[in-house]
Amino acid sequence: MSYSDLMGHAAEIQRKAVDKAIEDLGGRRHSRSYMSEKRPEIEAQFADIPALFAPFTQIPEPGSFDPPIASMGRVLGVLSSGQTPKDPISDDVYPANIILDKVPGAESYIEDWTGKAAMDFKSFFIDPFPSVVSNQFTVAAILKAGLEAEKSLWSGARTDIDTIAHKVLAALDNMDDCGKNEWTIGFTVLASIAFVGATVFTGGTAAPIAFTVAGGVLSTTAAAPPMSDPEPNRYSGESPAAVIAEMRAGIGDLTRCINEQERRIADSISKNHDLIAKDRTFFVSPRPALADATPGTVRDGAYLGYPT
Amino acid sequence: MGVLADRLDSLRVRATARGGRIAAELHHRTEVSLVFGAGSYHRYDERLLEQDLASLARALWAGRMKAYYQALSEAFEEPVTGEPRPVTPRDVEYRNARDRIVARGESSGGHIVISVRGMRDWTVRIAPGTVTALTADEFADEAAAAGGALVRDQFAQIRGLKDRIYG
Repeated sequence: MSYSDLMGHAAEIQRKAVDKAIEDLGGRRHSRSYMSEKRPEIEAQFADIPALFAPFTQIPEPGSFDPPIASMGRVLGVLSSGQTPKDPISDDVYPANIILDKVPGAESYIEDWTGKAAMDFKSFFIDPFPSVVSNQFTVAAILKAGLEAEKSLWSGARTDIDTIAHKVLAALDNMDDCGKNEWTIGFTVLASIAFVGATVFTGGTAAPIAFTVAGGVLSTTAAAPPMSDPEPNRYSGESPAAVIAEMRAGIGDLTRCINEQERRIADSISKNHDLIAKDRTFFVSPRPALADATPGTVRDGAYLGYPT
Repeated sequence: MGVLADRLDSLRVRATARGGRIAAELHHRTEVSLVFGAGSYHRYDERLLEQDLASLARALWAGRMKAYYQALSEAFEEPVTGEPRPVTPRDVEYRNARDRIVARGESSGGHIVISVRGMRDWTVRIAPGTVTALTADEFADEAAAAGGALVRDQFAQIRGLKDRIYG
């Protein structure tokens, strides 16, 4: 059994629950007149089972996150600068992009260029360029980590719903034995995402700006210790109705875990977005005033100015 | 049939008594078979047989529980080596009541009666003159039938108890 046959598992659970409930009727199950009323009643009791599993066949394919993750990896490669540039979340080291070194190097080419535009170009573009690129690199790392967190979450969700199906089937087989029919499920979605706080830069503010970044566990193990395994949830049931009631509870628990993890990822990205919007100049070079010049004004003091 | 159900159906547990004089097997959940070693049956009297059948039954059930926990470990994908600790008052009530269950199996000819309390304290009663009256094969069939009836009685009482306490 596996996730790819989830609806097959659901059908098997439903069939087994109905069969067991009928078996528990004892000798009465052999009465045709009794069963003509009882069987539909029992079948109705478990009719919701396929619908409980069906939404989990529509969840995102974890592999579908690979192309955008690879794409963000390429963005990191383009924005990689400085000495030993390292993804602050995954600790992956990217080779510095030597093309970026040409911008600060342009300063010597414009030594003879004077006027306001020349001074502004140096002050607002060339000088802060390394920091702006470094900050963009961090933002790209955060977005990549967000995508990896989504991949990890949905991969865990597939594992967990499949585990619920497997364990419920085993519980239906085990409930007539002598011991208490109890099973546990440790939801992997709870451990699928690690959060680390990264103090990235101080910029012009007095206090450091702390970025909260989310990433899949595999990509953050170097940045933060893996989260400890959460306490597993316990379920038990000694009749078909009780086992299926616990299955419904388990699916509800998993749904809540997924929603909670989604909220954590969304909160993290949203918080970062707010920080970027608040201090936009740290991430984007200012629009050159020359862009608003006209042929009539381009030589004014506010634009190119006059040579000294 | 589910994976665990298949596994429990196919469990086969074997035990021997007194150096192989009697060998027994528990299979298909509630079926028991028994066989005497060559020439060993007529060396027995009823009292010695009672002792050996009781220790065979004890060993078979212990082996069955070990194999059962192994099957549970595979089905639930976690190590299961014993029962979970009782948590709720109902769990405690169930455990106490289960320990008081007396399961009983009697052979079709009435020569052999096996009983067990809480699946721990085993007692075997063999009617006087049985060893003389029955051949080794006849005795083995009677003992196996009594053993199978006992296991079925135990499971039936467990179902009733679970329905009463957890139902």
